[in-house]
Amino acid sequence: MTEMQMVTDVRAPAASWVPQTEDVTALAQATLSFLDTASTAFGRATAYNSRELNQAAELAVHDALLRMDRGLYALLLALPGVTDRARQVGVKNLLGVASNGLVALEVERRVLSHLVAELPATRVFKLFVALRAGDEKAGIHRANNARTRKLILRVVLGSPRIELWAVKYRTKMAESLTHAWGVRTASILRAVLAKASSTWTSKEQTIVRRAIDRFAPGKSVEKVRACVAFVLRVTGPMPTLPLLAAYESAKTDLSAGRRLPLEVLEGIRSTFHKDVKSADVLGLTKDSLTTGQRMQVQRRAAEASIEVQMDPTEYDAVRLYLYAFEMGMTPEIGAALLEKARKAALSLRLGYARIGILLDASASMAGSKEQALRPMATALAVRDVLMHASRSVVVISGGTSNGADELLVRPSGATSLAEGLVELVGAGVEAVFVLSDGYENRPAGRFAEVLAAVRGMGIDTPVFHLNPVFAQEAKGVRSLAESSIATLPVSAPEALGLAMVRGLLVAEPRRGLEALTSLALPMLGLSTPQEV
Amino acid sequence: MMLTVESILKGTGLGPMQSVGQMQVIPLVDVSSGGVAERFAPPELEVGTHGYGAVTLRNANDKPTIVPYGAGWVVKQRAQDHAIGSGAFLKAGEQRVLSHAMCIQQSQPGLIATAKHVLTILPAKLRSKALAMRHVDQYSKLWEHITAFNTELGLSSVANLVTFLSTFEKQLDEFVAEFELVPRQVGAIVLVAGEVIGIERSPSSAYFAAVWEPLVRVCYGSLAVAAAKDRKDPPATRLPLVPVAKSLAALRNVLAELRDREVRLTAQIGSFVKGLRLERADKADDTLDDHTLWTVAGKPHTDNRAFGGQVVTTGSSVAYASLVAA
Repeated sequence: MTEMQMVTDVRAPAASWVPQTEDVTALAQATLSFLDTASTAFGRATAYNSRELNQAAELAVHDALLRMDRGLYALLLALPGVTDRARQVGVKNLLGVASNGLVALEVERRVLSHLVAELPATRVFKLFVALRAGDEKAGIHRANNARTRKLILRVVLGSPRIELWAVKYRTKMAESLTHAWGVRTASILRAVLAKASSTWTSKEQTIVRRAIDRFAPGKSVEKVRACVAFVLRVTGPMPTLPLLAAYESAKTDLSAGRRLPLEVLEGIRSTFHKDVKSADVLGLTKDSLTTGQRMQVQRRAAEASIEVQMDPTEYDAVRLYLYAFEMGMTPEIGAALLEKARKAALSLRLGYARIGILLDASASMAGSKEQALRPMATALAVRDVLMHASRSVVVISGGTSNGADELLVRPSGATSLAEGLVELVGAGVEAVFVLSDGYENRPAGRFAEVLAAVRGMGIDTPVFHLNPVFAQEAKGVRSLAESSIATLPVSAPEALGLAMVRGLLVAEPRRGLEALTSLALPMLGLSTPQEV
Repeated sequence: MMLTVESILKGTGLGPMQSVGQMQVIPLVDVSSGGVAERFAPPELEVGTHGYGAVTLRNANDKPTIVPYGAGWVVKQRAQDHAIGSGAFLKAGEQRVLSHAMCIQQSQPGLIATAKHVLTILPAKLRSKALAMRHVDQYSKLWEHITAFNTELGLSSVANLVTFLSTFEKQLDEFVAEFELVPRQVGAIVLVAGEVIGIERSPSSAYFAAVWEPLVRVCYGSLAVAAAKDRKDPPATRLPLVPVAKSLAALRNVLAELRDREVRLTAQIGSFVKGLRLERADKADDTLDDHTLWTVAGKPHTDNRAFGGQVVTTGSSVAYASLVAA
């Protein structure tokens, strides 16, 4: 996953980047929409919009920038704070839409490799499977060109984790490889791999070399061939690779599969050991769980009286808040959250000595059932970073919190932010950060009215609206005061730097674009914009 | 027999008014000392059709439930969407066929496969018509009213409710986010264009949370959509901030004064609503143990509009009410 690695100073002078179009304003506008989408859209329903509507709006925004400036589009996908979902869509677009020749293939290849490497394995395989079928209705292009095929083979066969992937994503891996080779070649490989390599004809050796070996790194050829044989379900002797062997052995002796991933062993249990309880699988695999699974199984483990160790410092802040909402806040989680906020704040130079934070904790911040409490968790994580980035005054509107868990605020009640704004401006802060989904109802528009009144008094305290929720009707994020406030999308504290640069993009399009490219290029190991 | 809205609102208090565009909502919160006994489960039902004009419902909950009148199910399957006229009781675990239901997609064939489908509640105007025709046994009985409803909004004249739902999907979705539930909320007074057009009282906050989305999104949302076509300015009941303050202290005072005025306005609306009287139909629509479902109607109050709807009484108290003036 991406981590914020650079220091972002929104007031620092930008590098000299020359966009490939003369209409910089239009490009900046498309970029703004793209940033809003790429940093907040998850392709899911929100409290307000259906998944279908959100997806259509999201894909249209991607498409617009892709067609306007393919190079910039590719670059921006590498930015810290861009969601995995956006990267997934981006890879599909870059592979599915023919290049216009303006972007060097080598650069695009590098971008694609970087993007795929950043994605979690589940998303990588989902992406590869989607490339095979395409979904025009959802705006996903089918991609079956040489670049796509090579990318799939390079990523899958070149992965040091191929053995784990083979047992964990057996079907999807077979589908992806079959898509890359073609059904006929896959069928030939299945037949060839069923025989001992010493008996292969020279033609068969060539086929295996071209399809598999040339993508396998160094000495791992035998291992990669064995994994391919496994996912293609080639029948033969018991595999010798430990995980593949554990997979086969577990069918007769469940305990032999203790080194397998939880979900894989659970699948074997439900098919071959129906009389064994699911909790026993958790007991067997508790030491080989992934970091993510350690968090996911806590409730199940507690119910089965199985102790599964979980280190809160290994999770990002949004995830920790989501976990705390479900399981309750503990001193360990609280300490991990504060430490993460402190570290993230080190790389964020706000340039203000004292700020005001206005936190919207109204009911709609609970989000939809599809991503329950994510907006609130994001807002809380961002609040923590801001509090560590500067001396701060915090005002919370709505919500409930338990005295012992001051960090955790549960969303509840109506949205009334106007009084909070007056309170913060009156406290003499240098800037106000409003964390809200942009839906106000006590009454709607009061925040904008109050801000106008404050401005009428000659008070020009900057007000930034940080919004964690994608809204399809706004083709980005919804603003609390459209014409008089900078509304910045933010999906995670790591994306705060990106959000601040977005503010610059509104005020000064060219400098904003330059700042964005200078954020993205180091991610790709490219030093100057001219390389793109 | 007469019934007052005051008796319906007994045990509730008025929450702060929420205003967005032409719609305003005053939450009704439970102020009874021990909280509301959860006698009824939310109407989360399994729904299916086995022919046109009848709906099969199953209440899988361990408590009985009240199906709201004008409830409908708009499904993604290729099936004829259906709605019901009168509400009904369903016992815990009970499966029941409600005849006298109606089709709401004139030219769509197909039956709804039984499953938990999302509940909708007919647009206020159609809901009143559906209730008035609750005893008519004709699956096409709402078609001419759907046509008139769509035409009035400038839509195609086909008797298909989905035309309205898909055309205004964005606005309808936004109502859900814009009007937020508050703690212990068991009902609401709804205003559109400054007029009270809805009174909702549920047996519990869990029940209200389940029906609020279909109510605000479609039932009342339809009225707000129509009002917004004709009016651009907010209603007079949405108090504006007049920018006269010259200092932050003065602005604070102006905001406090606005809050006071909102509280007074809310109280006035509450008093007006409590004074409304409703006449109960002679015959009950459904009964379950000591609970009775009645259709009620009031006298016209403004714009010649009168409240009508259904209530559930338990002895002398009112457990549920849904009243619309459309």
